[in-house]
Amino acid sequence: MMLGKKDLFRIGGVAALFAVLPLILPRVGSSVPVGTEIMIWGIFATGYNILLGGTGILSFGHAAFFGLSGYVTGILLLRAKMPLPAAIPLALAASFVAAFLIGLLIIRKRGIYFAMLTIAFGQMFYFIASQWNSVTGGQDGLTGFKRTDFLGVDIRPEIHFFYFVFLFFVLTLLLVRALRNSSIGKTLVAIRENLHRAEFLGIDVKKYQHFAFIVSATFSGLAGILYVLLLNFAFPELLYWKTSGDAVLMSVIGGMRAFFGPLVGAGVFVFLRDMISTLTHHWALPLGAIFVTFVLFFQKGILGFFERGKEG
Amino acid sequence: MELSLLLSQLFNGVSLGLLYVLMATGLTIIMGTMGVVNFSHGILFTFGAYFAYTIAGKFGFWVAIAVSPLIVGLIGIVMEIGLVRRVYGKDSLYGLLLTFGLAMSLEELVRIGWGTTGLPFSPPDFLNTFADLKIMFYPLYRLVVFGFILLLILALWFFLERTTLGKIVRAGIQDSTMVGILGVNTKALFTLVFGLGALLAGLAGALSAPMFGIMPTMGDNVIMPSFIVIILGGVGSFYGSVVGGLMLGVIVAMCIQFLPAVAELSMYLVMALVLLLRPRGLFGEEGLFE
Repeated sequence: MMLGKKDLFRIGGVAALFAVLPLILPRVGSSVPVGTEIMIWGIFATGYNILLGGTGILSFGHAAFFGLSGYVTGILLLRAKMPLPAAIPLALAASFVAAFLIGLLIIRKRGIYFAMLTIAFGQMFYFIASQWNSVTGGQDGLTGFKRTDFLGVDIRPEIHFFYFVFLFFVLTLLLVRALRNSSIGKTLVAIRENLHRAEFLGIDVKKYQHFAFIVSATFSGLAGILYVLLLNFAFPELLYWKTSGDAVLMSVIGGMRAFFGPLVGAGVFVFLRDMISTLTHHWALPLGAIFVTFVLFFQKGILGFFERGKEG
Repeated sequence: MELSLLLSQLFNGVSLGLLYVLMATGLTIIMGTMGVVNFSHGILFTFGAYFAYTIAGKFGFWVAIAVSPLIVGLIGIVMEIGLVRRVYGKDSLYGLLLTFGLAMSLEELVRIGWGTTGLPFSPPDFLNTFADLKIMFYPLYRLVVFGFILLLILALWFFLERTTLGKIVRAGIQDSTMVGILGVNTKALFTLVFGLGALLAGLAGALSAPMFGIMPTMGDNVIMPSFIVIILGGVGSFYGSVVGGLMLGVIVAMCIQFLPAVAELSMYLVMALVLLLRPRGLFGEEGLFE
């Protein structure tokens, strides 16, 4: 069994908490879409962390997959009039294939050099999205499509869409947990802890790293699809390197060595951004300062700070 | 195709490339010695331009060009001592995120200080004209900047190749731990390297302001090309960033003229191509970051 009782219990607890969120949010001055957004960034960051926390590889380009799948969804809905159940798998496949190809080129690189290459490849997608006017709508973004229904279920109302995302959210938590419990997940941790030892043990390190890169990219793609459906809008900034940076920050703020760390980071990120932006439109100034503080003084993140010694 | 058009685009490409060289040299030395991808390099470039703008309004253009990079270099030193120093030896993730957060805050500071819209900045009147090069007319200011940066790159080469301090910096790129063991004060070395990188970024910003205008996001437009220059040239290589920078500048300028649809994309295509043919970059050394 890949998922123990403890895992199911914890994920069940988180799911229960999110399930009642639509009742709570409007009463505390917030709104249902904020909860939807937290789950979407949660999917992004939790999937991303398979690579960062789980394999020890820093990518600064996952926004490319987030945006790519998002754009593909919008384009299929708008230009091919495709129903959502057909568009989603195709959009996921786009990120899967893109990550496979980019991975072939760069997976041999190490550390900051690898990070830099992911930024550069990510930016390539950004420029394509912002300049291929006839397909992507260029700088103005892609509009004119709307989420309607999924297999007959109306997902237009905010509350319906919340629970639609909720299903993917819980599925993501279960899948990522199962992956990280599996022998593949353990091998990835072995690579993270000591790459050379893993190599000496006969593990095909590159293949495993490539696998982690592709899987995490596909989850970024899933989050991108849901985000574009939430907004009914795709725009170039989805693919910008700063969006990748946001995902990295979420993982680090929440604690990349704890399974729920990236999710906590996503929640804190969305919460802080919303809160500060109601106080001042110069929200980037305090937010950046908070990040710097975290990087300098709480390197294990919020969950790492509370549960020292435990590994996710 | 007209020769003069081709030639003027070539000149544009080289002057753009020289700016990339200034940016990338600082970045690559910082990356090579301290292992930090400095995301705040773009905002230091922006600072260089804005300080030059403000100083030029009070004390004139030349004072601005001379003083603004020094202030930015000083800011770099303060940043290194106060913040960046704390992440050395840790996972490269932290240096990257630290400078990422820092850049986020500082860019907002520029917006608060100078506003969100672009500002006009012209070169002094006697340079704000066209030079007659017989086959074409070319902006005099660009030519002067052109020559100035070339001299500066020569000076940098002399510093890195011919002076003891430069040799220590190069040794630091190879193996900064070993340099420390040999009795060099690496703490001071790192501060110097970061300050030098910041100064070069500030200078690039100040010099480019009259060519490309000033706005809060201007740093974003140069940091990505600078990263690509480093990938093209090879991390830690001075020659790599010179050759890579000029190459990229010319390719981008030519594409702007003849293939405008792929102008921005071209640099990424070149990068992918170089990676396929020479995975370490043109001048990359074996063993660094592999």
